[in-house]
Amino acid sequence: MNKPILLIEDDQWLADSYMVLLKSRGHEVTQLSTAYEAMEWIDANAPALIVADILLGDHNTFTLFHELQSYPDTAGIPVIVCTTLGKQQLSKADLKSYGIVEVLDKATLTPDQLVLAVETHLPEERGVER
Amino acid sequence: MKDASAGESNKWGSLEMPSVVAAAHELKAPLVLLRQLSYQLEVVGELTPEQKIIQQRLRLTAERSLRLVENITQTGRLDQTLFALEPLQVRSVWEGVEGEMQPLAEQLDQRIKLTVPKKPLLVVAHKELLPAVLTGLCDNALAHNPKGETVTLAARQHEDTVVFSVRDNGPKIDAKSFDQLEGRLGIAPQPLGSRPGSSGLGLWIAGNFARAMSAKLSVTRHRTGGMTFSLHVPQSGQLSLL
Repeated sequence: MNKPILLIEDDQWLADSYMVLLKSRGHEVTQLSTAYEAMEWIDANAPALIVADILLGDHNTFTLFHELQSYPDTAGIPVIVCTTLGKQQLSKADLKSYGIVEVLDKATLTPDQLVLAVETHLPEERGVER
Repeated sequence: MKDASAGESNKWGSLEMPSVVAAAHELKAPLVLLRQLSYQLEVVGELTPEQKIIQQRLRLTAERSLRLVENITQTGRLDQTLFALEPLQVRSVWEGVEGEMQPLAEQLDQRIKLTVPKKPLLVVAHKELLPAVLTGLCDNALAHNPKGETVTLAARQHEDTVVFSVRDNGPKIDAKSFDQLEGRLGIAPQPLGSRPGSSGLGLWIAGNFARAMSAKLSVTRHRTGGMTFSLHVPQSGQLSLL
């Protein structure tokens, strides 16, 4: 069975919309609303890829990214950040050291771009079930 | 015509309005959601032509609002950041703006015409602020341009600057209102009675961004109606080194 994609997004309607899109492409997606919940879930489920908002209610997103980088079994999980923060506000060095492979701007993001980013960074051994 | 983007002290100075910037930032999330939901309509089923028009208008309205709130939040950061100015290709900047605004022009039943010199021109500007100013000017022109008319985007070399201009064919503006607009362009938001629906906020933002790039904003009134807003940006000497 393929590993799921983890979507961390605290706007439930936006999360629903992203899930409809990704599921329509055959991806298995689990959604959580806080970085704290995500930490526990990742320990138990090892997702293939994470799509995460940064400005979450519990303000712990970078703590989560740091935690992921601290352990060999999670350090390799690609992280796509999907945010309304401008790229100017995000340090490139920080992004790389946190395992972030791509930053998507929610304000200009199209469905095709989200799908492309996810399918580009999914590990190769994980095929898409159609 | 005169340079109107400098001089008077800016009582709306970027750091004096943190609550406005915070409010703008808060508006981003619901606008992003509206935009995304409009896309989701395409995923859940085929739309009738009428539904497709409504969906496009929803999205364009959300995108227009997002540009505005993004620019307001950016204005709040102008004094905090040392902006990296870099050489930018005039044609590619204008083509990017044209591509972004074309769907809105089509929905408004207007046309956009781009006129730039064939020879390569480079300016020294900020890669995000320059398109933001030009997109704002184009958006402003589309808001005032009548149905069926053309908004002209142009660029020309003038001494050591490149002048980006946006011409609309909107309603004539009386001399008094024009003097008021020209005198306070980019310094403070200013409603224009002869241009209903305009608070002048977009031009105030454009003025702030222009100053951050050492560029100047100016405006010309046309006898036949309509106005041209121009942005005078320092030219890059990089091509002369080749």
